[in-house]
Amino acid sequence: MLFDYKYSGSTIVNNTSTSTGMSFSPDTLREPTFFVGKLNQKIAFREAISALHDVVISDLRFFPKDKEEYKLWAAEQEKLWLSDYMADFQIENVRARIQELKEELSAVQKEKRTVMGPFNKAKSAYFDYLYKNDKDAWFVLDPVITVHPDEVFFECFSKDESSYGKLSCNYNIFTEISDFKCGTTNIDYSEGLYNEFQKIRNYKDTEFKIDPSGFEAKTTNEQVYKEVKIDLPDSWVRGFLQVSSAMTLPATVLDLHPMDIFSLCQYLRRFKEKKGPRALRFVLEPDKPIKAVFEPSYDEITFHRSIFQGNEAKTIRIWGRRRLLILERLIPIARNFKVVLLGSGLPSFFIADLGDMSYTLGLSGWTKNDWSTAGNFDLMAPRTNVDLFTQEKVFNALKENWFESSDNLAKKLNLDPSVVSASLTAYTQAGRVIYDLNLGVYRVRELTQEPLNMKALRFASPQEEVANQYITENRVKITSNVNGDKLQIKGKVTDKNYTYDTMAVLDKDNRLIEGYCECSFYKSNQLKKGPCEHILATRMALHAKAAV
Amino acid sequence: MKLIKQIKLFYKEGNSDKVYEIDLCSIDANNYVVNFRYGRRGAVLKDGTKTPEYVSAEKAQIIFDKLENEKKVKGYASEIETLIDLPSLESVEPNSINGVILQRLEDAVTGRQTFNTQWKTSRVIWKAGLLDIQEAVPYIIKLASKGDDLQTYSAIWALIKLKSTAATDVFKSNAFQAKQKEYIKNLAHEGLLGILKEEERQKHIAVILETLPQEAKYYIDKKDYDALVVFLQEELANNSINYLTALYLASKFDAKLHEIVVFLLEAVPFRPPYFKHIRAIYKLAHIRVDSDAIAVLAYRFEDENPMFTRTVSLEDEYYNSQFIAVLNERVNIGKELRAKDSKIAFSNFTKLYFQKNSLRFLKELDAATDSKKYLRFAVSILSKYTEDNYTKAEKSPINTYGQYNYNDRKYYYTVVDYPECSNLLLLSTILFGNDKKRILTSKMKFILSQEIFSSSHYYYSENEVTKVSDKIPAAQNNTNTENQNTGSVLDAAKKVFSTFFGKKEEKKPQSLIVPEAKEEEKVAIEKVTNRLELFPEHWDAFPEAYIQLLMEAQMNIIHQFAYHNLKARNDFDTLINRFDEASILKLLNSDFAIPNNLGFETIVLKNATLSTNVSFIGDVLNSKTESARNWAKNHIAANPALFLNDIECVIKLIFNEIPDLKNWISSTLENFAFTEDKAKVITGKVIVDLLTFEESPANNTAATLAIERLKKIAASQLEQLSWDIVARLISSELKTNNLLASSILILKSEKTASKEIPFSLIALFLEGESFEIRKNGIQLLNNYQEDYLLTLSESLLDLLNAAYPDVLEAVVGRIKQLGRSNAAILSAALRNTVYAMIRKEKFEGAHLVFKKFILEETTQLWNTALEPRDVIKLIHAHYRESQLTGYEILKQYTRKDDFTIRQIISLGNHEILAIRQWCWNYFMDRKERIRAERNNALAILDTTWDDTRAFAFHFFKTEFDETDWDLECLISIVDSVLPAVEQFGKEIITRYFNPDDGVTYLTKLSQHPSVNIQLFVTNYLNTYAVDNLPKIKELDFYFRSVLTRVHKSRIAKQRIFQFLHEEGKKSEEAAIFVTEIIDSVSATASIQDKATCIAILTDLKTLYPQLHTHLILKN
Repeated sequence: MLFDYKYSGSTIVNNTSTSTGMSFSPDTLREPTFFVGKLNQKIAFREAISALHDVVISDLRFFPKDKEEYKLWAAEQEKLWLSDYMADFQIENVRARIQELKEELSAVQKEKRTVMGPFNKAKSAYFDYLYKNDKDAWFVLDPVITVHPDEVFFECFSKDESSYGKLSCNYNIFTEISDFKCGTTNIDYSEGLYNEFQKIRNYKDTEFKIDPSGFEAKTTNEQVYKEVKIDLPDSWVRGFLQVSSAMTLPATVLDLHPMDIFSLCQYLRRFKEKKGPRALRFVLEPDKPIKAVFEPSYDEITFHRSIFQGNEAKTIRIWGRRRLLILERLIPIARNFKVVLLGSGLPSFFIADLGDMSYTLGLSGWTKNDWSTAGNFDLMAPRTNVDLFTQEKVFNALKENWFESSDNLAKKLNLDPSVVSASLTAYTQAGRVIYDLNLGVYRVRELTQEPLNMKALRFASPQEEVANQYITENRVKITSNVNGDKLQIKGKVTDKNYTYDTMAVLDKDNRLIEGYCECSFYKSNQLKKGPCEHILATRMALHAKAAV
Repeated sequence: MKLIKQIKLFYKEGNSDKVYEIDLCSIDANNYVVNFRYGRRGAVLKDGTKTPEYVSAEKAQIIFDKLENEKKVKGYASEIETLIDLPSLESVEPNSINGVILQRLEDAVTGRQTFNTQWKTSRVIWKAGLLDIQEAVPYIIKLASKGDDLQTYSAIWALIKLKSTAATDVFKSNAFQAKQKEYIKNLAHEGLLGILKEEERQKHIAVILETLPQEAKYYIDKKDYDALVVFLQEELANNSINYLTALYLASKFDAKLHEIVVFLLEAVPFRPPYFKHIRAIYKLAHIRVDSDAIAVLAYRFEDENPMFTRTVSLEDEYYNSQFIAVLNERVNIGKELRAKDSKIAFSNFTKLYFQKNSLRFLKELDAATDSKKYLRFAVSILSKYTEDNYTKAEKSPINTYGQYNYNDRKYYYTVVDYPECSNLLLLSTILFGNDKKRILTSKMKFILSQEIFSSSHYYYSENEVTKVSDKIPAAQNNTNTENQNTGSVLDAAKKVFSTFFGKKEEKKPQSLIVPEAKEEEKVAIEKVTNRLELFPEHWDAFPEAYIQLLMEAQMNIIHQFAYHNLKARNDFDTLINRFDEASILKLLNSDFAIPNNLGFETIVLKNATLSTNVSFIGDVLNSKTESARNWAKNHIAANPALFLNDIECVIKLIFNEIPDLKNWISSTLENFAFTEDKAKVITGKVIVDLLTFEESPANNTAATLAIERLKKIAASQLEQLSWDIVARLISSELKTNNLLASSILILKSEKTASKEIPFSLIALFLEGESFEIRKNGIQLLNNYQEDYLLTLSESLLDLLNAAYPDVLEAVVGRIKQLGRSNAAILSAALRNTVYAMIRKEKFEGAHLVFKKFILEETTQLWNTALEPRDVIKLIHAHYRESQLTGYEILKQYTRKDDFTIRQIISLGNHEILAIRQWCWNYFMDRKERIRAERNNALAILDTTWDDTRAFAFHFFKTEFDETDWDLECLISIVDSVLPAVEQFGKEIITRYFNPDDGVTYLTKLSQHPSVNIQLFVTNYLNTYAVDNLPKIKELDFYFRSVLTRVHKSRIAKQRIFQFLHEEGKKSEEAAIFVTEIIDSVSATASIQDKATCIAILTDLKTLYPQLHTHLILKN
């Protein structure tokens, strides 16, 4: 998916010993949106925006070590070892010859090192330079900033397509708001800004500005716009929308003391598991302290100051727990953490109450959104049918005030609240509205200038689409049994004219690790290109069964 | 509980008179129930439920449908079906056809058997509908759901035909019953649409539209048909229009939508998933008598190849499978065709069936004896054919290899004599339906005769065969035996249909048929046997149809037919006399000779009125009919003054593209003396026309020709065209226009001073894509006088953005030339080139041109013309050439001190080492300035270049001493997040530490986010914060921040714990503050910290028992 931005100049943070000026450069291709004010709670803002930066750069995917060089060396070395070994069988003069050649070879190699040394050094220096200079290319999508009549909020999504960060600041953290215009825009963002943010101090006068000047017509012909074209992977956009549409689902809510997050982070920093399952289990019992259990060691931390307020005992497992380390910086400034859990393997949200600011960290079900987690839960599925007319009406009504709770909207439009929230959910899935978990209101936030193509984003792969169809048409029958550490699901998937015997094996992390099918896609690719639609359907059937 | 849906069913037979009511109710959004009541009609009904537990909406719907179906199978039906009163048959003549049918219907209802013969009830119902017997309605309603599906279908069909408003319930119950067959539902919907009143009909259409995808529905609601077409095209490409029938149903009262559906019908492939819709729509179109849709489909049934040729039986046997080439797989035909989503459709048999059906439709139209209807259908189907469909009349053997006969040892061949268009069933039927010689074979082909030849060769060769006998085709045979009077196609068709529809009909007792209608038909046919077309009487009634065919049809044979018949009419002249000019032109411009000919005949006939019609003759000259053109030519030649004084006519001549008139037009135009005014107007009009042309090869040739002629008659006018027109010609899309403009300009520039040519025009030339035009522009630019060009310097400088190397070279050259006498323009040019170098280059190498210009021509102007920020921007441009140019300028730049310190530091951050070194040198040279602006100069430490940073460290260490530093400065060094700078800062602070500033350091550094500095700050705690409670309170964030570092700053934590412990003990107020922090931190899971916290809290709590903590002390 291609995104175009046009910034007038770059975002600049100007630091002197007495003042800081932050001037964010908005996308001039979008509706003018700007904000000019002075910061009041500076340190807290600094910590929060730094935590947001941590989301932007967060990439916890596992990348295997590049062993190419070692292998080259080993191949070379093997010849030597082999000759050594062979020498044992040879007569004396051959051994002498080998010795001679070896010396000669080492001389040549030494010479080569001296000749090539400077070049290699320069080469690696050059690569380092490229790496550093091109660092901004790491950020996938510049953060999105939204100005609303009651607050300003930043949103971003990590490169590994798994973490979502949102920092909302209500107007109490500003003094002297001189000018603003509501709307949503992208801002120019680069790695260097992080260092400048660190220089924010309480004693410095700090100006915060989403620069309106870019929207004025420029007359001089020297103005250089910074035009950026980003080719975002569809899966990235899909992940973003999935996490934000997850916010509208019903959830289990619990409150944690800041030190509880500290304890979680501490455990994670202290122990690094080598083997799965790597889940974090929240054990919830009504009116009892919340417990966190770390798999695979099953170590338990009890949060004595956080009592679960719900009425129903339950255990929820979440994965990708190392992403919680993003919250570390917020511990000293947070009053409380609200945790919103949708269910095992589903997105979860950690909302830090920072007084006049609130910071939301949204985590997708797993860190790595690869095929092994595909088909778990379809967050992009339309939840209720509301016709486009009504949807448009609801959206236009929301646009009038920028934010509104669904009940208020329902009253205003004289519609059923369920219709209103269904329409807004559809817009959330399309990235045009966001649900504010903290205040329980829907807010207008157009992620992109042009509406996204939802048809392309609905499913991660064509296989998933077909699998979904199998489930809706009820063509899948499964039986499951636990076999050691694994959950084995055997299925029969009826295609148009054939019934496939399938098998899907889930490990303790609920990841699909093995599969079997009779179809030709599986036979030619095994699982290299991901599971076939039949295996996926088998896995999804398990979920569907659980739902019933 | 809310009632969602209810149905009442009735049963009445003998003494039994029962009701069955089914309700579908919702408890709330997710829970539904299905209840029922039953009992004798009028009595108290018994209750029951099918849902012991609440179920979901879908499940409830399924239960509801199942129950309804169950009861219907048992004989329950809707109120009207059960309770409608049957009329008495006394008044009906029992021996009339109506009487027989009504009697048969009554038999079917009561179960009696009055007649000795069998006649299937569904056929009787159909016949009743066909004969429009209104009295049959109650019977049909009663029978609608009594028999098999075919009976229901026939009943609904007949009810629609009879326009029975009483049948609403029958339609409704069939249209909305989930389990009903699709084809019955469609028909029932159609029935409802036919009888519902305005408001309810709208509602019903809305219900039908529900099955469409949201988008389509949305567009239809909004009447946004363009968007709908786009959407449907997309869907068609995705092969996903599975709602074609619904669209067709909904289009009944929406002409525009109907048009779209017909358009779709022309495009959809005759394949699954569309074919079932095609089938349904064809049937619906029949009952609607929708000639547009039928014509499209009938033509396509004839034209399309079947998807497969079925060779096996339809029985569901495992061996009845066949390879289907289109699908590239083997399919069990019978099983597949019966399956819900069949992959195959439209076999050769299906094709045959539909061809026969369309033929029958033709015949039925005649039965209605409505000429208009028949002609509309005939004309619209004929206009679907094109010349490509034409096949010659020929004799050819069925098989070129003979059949060997062992008796006489010869090969035998069947040779068929095919007429023209033998395989165009509908066309042949319409045009030659009365030709007795043409015989329709069972393959739906027309033949004239068959002969049998024999030969000794196994291979057919025309010269070596001997005729044996005429073979009488089977179809002909049968017809002859049955009915000697007519051997026409009609009967052949009838025969063909007998297998589908007519079987039972023929078995009817002959005496009961009232023969009037039939006889009339026969008489009519016999009367006009000399005419070949079917139903000549219809054609005779509306001769306009011939004219329409002549204008619209795309096939010679059709034109022949139309023309011949038209000509044969007595009123031929009056008819063609009615043609207006537009129709004549239409005929003349047809691609076919006959219409052209007719057009010319008309002209000849109306010569008197047309010969003075100037505009018409101008148009005729451009027509495709040569004779007509000659006629026009003669008129013009006879009276040139009349025609050539008419401007419109002249313009038509100018734009005339007919090749054989080329010379004649040129000479005519040349030989006529146009007055000055006329020539001016003509030129203006021609140019206005040229400006509207879009770019295409055809338009270009037309324009070239027109321009050539224009030049001949009005060359002098071209020179006088205004600059504005020239500009518009240049910016026109058409290439020829651009050329015209440049040739005009050349004409003009010879006569006018260069000054008078507007500069904007030259700019337009220079933007031109064509090299020729740019060359002209460059020439004009060079012609400009210097002093005049100077006044236009701004526009000239704008040309530096030119996108073509040749233009840029010329402009730069011109500027250089001007610069020799005028330095100001050079300065301006310098600035402009610098800006141009900051921007992306318009073509590869543009920056090099600028670089050359800057370095060679403007050296002495750098200091005056360029502002410091221009230089900086140039150096920081994204392009290497620009950076290097910038460096060259920087080296010579004398206004160094006008750079701000920030700008200088930015140079120290540059990629090019030489530029960084320049910055270092500046620092060394201007130590005083750096000292004075040290706060800003410190920013150099944040550089990304280690060499610059090393220089800076060295510089500050050696060049600065105690007096040069102040507190803020030092702190701002430490503020950096780079570890090296932080370290440097700490070092400097420690070196120049002034105890008086201790508190400030403590406050300011405590806000630093880095762990190192936080640890560094602990050093000041014990000295500057002890006993200073307000200060301690200020450090709240610092304490919390350090104590909540995860696995970091152990030492700092210890120190702070200790410090807080000590301070807390000092006063109650301090204790409260400390307790707050420690109490919060004590929630940690880290045992060591927790122990420390508990220890501190215990201690404080013992001192001040009233402290509020989570810690509870026992004893």
